Amino acid sequence: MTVRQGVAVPLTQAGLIALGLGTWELAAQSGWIDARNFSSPSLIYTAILFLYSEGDLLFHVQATLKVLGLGFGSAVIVGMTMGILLGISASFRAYVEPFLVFVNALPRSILVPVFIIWFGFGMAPKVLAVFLVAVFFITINVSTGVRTLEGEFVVNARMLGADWRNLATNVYIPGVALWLLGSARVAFGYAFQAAIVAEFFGAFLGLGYVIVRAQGAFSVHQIYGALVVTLMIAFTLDRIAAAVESRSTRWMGARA
Amino acid sequence: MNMRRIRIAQILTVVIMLATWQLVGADGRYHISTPLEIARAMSLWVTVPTRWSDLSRTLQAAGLGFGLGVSLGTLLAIIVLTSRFLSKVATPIIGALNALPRIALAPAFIMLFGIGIDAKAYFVAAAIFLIPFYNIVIGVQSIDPALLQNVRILGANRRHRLREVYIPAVAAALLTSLRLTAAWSLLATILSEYIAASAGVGYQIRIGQGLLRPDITLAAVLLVAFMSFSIDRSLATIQSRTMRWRDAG
Repeated sequence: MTVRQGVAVPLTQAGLIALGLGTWELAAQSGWIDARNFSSPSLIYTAILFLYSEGDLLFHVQATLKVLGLGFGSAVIVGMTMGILLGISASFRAYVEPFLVFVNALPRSILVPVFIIWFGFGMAPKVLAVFLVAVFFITINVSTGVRTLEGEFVVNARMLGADWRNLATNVYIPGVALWLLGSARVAFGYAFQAAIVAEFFGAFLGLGYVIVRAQGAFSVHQIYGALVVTLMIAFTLDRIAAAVESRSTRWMGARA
Repeated sequence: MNMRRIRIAQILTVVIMLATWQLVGADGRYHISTPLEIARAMSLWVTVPTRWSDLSRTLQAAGLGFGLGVSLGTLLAIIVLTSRFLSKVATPIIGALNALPRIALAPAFIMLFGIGIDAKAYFVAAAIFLIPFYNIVIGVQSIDPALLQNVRILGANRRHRLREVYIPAVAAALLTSLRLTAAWSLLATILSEYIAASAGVGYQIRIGQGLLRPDITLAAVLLVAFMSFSIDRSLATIQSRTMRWRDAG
């Protein structure tokens, strides 16, 4: 790729975004579209500043991140344990499989209303929803990982004289960690979505609540403002997950 | 491994769980309802005609949104794929959009378009169109270059390549994406009905929550699960039928 092409792509991207935002702003200013419905970039910016200075935006962001962290953290622990068990024991796998299929077919993020009736309006229903959405990705990915290790890798390591301790530290743990990281980015995206949706269902905390509250108050600019903040957080988290993923799987490229 | 023993253990687990639930729930102190109440609530979906209209509204909104979103995603993918420059420019922007929990857009769409079926269809389309789009773009970009070169050596011109390589690749990618797209269409419809609607399966979920009646809510959730399961199965069948030629190669 020549230097000129290397600059042209990001330049066009920035230009397109600036053009889009500029047109939107102008159309709203000149009254060509109704800013009461479609808002405008400057109004959204003001709304974000208002949400921030009012003092509760960071508080709600924290609440969402806490739900996400607790739900996803427990999903990683349980998913890894389940995945390893499923990968190692064929009879356990046969026992659990129909239950997994059933729960996986359930639309888990809309179960939140049921959890709210059961556990109240606290953090528990939201954490549970995030957990349930993430845990299946992780379980299935880790168990697939363990099963691929079972063949050639384990046999080779045994032939080289590895006992179970060597197998655990040199084969299973790195292998499982890899499959975990491979599924983490996708699972994390779904978990974030589940956290926001869970906060739609009658909550008093979190980014999802800020969005629904703005809808209830017919405040279009605040809806868009909260969405922009959500987008920025989602994008940042996704970038971090992608960086972790590519760094930890870089060595794999050398094998091919 | 003894398959019969495992089956017996599975059946026992289900029976014990349902029995415990029934016994604890019948006490009425915990608002967890009972399996029998849930079964009764589910039977209402068969016997009560107003529920049929709830169901048909949900399916209409989901179906319209599905059609709209898939067409939009396919069209956009084809536009982006026609130019290498365009696809370089568009990919990161769409990647950023893809990271947004698009289902969070529901309140914005309700503000813009109201609470009718068309408003829900627009929301569903916005929530899903990136799935077929992404699948098609990645599917076409991952066409084996060796295949293209071979076809070229065999004397294929632009039209041949389009017909023999690109169109089958787009069709296969689109078909693969449809299962995920269908599941999300239904889910997005239910969510927007929960937030604001006067009818629909999602509306019934909200009613159940408001009345502290988990049986009503759970029956509706199970209905959604049943619908998405049957849609998924039929799409999987269609997919394996039409994609059979692939394995032959």
